[in-house]
Amino acid sequence: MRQYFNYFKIPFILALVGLIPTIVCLIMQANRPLHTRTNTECTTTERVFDYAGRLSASEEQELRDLIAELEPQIGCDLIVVVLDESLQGYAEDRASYWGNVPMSQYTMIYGADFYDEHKFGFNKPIGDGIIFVDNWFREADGRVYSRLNAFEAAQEKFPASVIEDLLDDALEDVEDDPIGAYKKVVTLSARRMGMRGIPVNTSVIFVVACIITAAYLGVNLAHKKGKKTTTNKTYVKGGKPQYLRREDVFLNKTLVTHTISSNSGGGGGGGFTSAGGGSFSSGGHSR
Amino acid sequence: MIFTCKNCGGNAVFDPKRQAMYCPHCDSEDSADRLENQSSTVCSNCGAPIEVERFTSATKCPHCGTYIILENRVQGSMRPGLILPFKVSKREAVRRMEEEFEKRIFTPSTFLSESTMELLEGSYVPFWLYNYDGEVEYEAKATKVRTWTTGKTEYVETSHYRVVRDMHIDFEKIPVDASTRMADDIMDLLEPYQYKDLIDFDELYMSGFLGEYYSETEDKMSDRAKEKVTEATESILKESVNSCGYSTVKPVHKEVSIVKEKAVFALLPVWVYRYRFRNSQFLIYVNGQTGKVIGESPRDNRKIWGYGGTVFALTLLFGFFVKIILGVF
Repeated sequence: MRQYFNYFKIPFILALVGLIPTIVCLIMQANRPLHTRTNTECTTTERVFDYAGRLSASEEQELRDLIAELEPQIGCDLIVVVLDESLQGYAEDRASYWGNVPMSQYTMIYGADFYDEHKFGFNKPIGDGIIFVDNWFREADGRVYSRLNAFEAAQEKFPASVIEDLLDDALEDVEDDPIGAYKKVVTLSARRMGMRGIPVNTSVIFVVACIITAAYLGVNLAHKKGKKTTTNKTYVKGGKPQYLRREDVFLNKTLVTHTISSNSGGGGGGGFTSAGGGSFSSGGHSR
Repeated sequence: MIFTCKNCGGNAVFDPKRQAMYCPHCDSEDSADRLENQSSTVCSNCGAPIEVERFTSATKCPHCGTYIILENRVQGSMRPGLILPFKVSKREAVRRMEEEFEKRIFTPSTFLSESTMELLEGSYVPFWLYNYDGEVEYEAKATKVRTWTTGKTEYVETSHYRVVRDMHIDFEKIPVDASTRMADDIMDLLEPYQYKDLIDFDELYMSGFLGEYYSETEDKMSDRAKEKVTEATESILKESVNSCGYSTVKPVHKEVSIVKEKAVFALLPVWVYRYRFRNSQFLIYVNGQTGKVIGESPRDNRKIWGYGGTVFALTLLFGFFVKIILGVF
């Protein structure tokens, strides 16, 4: 037991010291004012709509939990829609209201209509909120479009340029890690809306604890019988070989050149009014 | 043969610290007399019967604790040419083990206790020391590649070389353990020994220790020595070519010849600690000259669960601290 306490002396002291700021923060958190949702007409409580099947059930739940934690802090609805279908026909059907829009704005009108249809908004139907639409389908121009529409109060904080920067940052690895990218979109949006603090997922803590413990056990269990301390030359007379001939003769040289090519992507946006009358700003990203 | 003290008649032993014969009974130095054995099955000191295993050349009487050297097993073809006397004392070997195993947190707390330290015995292990000559003829085509970018153009420059390495390598005293009782990999890990302390064999260095003569012949073990030499030769060649920073190397001609020159039978010093834990035996070895410690220590499962669980709990706790603190700022 003495060896045990001696071994963990420093971590135990650190845990006791760390307890003080943690308790202070818990008190601060408990006293932080939260917004109350006043929209009673919204047709759904769902916030994550993965029609493309890009997220697993647990990932969807992870995203839902994050949104549920953030919405009362920022007083804003947060909706994520994931598609994998051409929106060309949809845009043509909706041309009577939206007119002929470029392909980069298909996801914008889909998101605005979706928002209207479900009467999202934290304070009222088609009120304060942010809807993010990521469509994995490659439209006729060969590009994949994503869009973020910020309604009502959120509109002020999300000019098109801000949205584009946000999406460029958040969607950098969306192809390899969609859940990571979507969580980043939600977190950055909430932060932009004045959210304080950095959300840390409990499952991440659990996974990190498992990894650290496994590493600790691995290092302490992996003691080998011993290290080899001889070298190739330990038993060589004089410590080195006798070279009878040692040559490195330069023969000739060849030079090859090639030109480096580059590519780029972009979006487009501004201020709009949805069919339901909600005003919103919008910005996009393509890949 | 036993060594007796001229002063008190006690069993004189070779003391690694003093590098001299010493009587632990009356503390006198260099006062040893050789007393020839009358029989190899009876202790010359107390007359009790002793059991001697097949390749044992030095043993300890289980009744009176006298160290006995069996003359008939250190004579003729069984006589070692060289011996490297113990330099590390028993106390020093214990200290080295403690130093090594205090870092291994999951070893049982009784692992190096005083009572179990009595199981630490010094033993002379038989080795064949081989001399080999290595000859290498090597030729290869190699390239060095350099790339750089200027504007939108990338340049790749490849320089071609002819590489020649002809060398002669003298390998001296490649050690190969000649005991079937010692694991080859363990004995390899105990290396290197400093050969400057190798001296002509004399029985007096064996007094106070256990000993064996070879159970594997010189011819049989020469394959292992050749394997070691070949591996070292290949590595030296590779190192010599790689040190030039080539990007690619394509051998055109390679000829390696390894020829045995001679072999000597020698005794090298090893401390052996036998520890039993939950019906398994664990063997720890200490190089009797350099103090290098080799061996796998036992693991106490209760310690693994206890320490692992604490690390997990503490990490979770710190994780929640971070979550709560980051949630505010």
